[in-house]
Amino acid sequence: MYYKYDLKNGILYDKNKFIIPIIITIIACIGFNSEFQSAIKSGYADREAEFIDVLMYVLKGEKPFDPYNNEDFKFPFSWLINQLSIAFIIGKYPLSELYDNHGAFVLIKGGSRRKWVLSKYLWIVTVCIIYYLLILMTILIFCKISGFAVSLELKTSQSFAFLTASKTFTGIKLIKILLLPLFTSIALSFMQTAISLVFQSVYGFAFVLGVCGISIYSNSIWAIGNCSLLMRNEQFNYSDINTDKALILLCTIIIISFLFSIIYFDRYDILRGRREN
Amino acid sequence: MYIELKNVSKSIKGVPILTDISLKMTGGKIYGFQGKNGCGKTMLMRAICGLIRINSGSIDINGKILHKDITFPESIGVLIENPSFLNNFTGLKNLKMLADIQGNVSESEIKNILLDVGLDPEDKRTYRKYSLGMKQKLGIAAAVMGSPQIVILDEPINAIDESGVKKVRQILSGIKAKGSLIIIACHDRTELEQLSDTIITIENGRITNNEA
Repeated sequence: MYYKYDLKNGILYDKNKFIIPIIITIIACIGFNSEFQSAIKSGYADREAEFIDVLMYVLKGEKPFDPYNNEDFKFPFSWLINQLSIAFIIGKYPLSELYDNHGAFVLIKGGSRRKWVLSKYLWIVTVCIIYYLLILMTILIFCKISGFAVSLELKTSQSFAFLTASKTFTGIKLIKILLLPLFTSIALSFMQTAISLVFQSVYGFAFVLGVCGISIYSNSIWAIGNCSLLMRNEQFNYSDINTDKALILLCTIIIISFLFSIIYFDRYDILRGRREN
Repeated sequence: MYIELKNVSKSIKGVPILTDISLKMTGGKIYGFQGKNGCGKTMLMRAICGLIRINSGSIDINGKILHKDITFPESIGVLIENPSFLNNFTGLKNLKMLADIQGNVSESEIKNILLDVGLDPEDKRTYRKYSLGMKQKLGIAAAVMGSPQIVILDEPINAIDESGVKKVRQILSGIKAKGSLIIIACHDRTELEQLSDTIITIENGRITNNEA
């Protein structure tokens, strides 16, 4: 019953914030189109663009930072904005009821602390899924308008406009790679909420910002932002982030953050105003 | 219905808030908590609600030990300190959202309880635009919605006018007649005496007087 309440209060009645992924994706699609058109003009486009190419372009991020490389380092703006937008949308909603006496009504009416925490974390998963579904839908509409074929087979290409692997790949392998950004966002959001529960929401947001910042410049899988910077996945020859290891790491973080929150909240005193007022 | 507190103590950051409180309360009665600001009335109410965990002792609610057998009392309505609701919704919408969580309150019941406290269910104003008195009435409506077996009201008549206070008295009499156990705290000693069957005085986190 808490979940139904969270779906209404945190999504249905607050849906304006979901315009953010649509705007970011439209801008990224325009960027893709511009690069693809310039590849066609330069004669580098050896095949037509497809849905999966646009999707990879939107989610690819940038190559890892290499201080010994003279090439200019490209900052992954759209990736960072996506991660921070999710952190912003999650924000302090999950714990907002603890900031005032409204929380007492909500908690007591539902009758269980554990179910309350479970509902908040289910809400986070739902928000992340909606966020990525909106990205997918925006790309799909963009492809329909642009006349690009909708396929889930990542084909090879020499074009700089595409992020392609050395071999064409499809199926489970591709789906696992495409799940990485979603799982990374869920893991970051779970950690953000767990930290917000112990300290304040601002620290949870600062944590996400810090992890993203470190991920941009570090190439380690432990800087978990790297799991969702698809260009750094071992399939794309720019770095060596292993898909299976990344998924296991992200799932472990998700489970630990959730269990920690359940145990912590079981012992948590709900006092008026909490520490943020 | 009964609530039995045995040697309940609670301290926060080393400061004792409640000390060795033992008390038995039964259904069909109104218990009035009185005491100075900061004496521990609200903390005791929060402890009975399950919002804070006690350091020692036990709280037995109808045979179930709080935090052991149950997280919160199974049938309880609460208004502690200032009520707080979702600013962008009307009173009716706010109560409907809470009723969704509770799962056993119909829309007609919600409308009736709003009328009982003196609010118009068809009022289109959002909670943000409510006066202090209206907010307090909505808080009382949320607490008594669904006829809970335990009702805890902290300063229920704050900011409410004379006619509103009469309505609160009527509501409390009604739920008391149904066998609910009601706990109220009020600074106004005269009002508390009028409302309560038993007055419990709290000083420095201890019960100093328990008079019927």
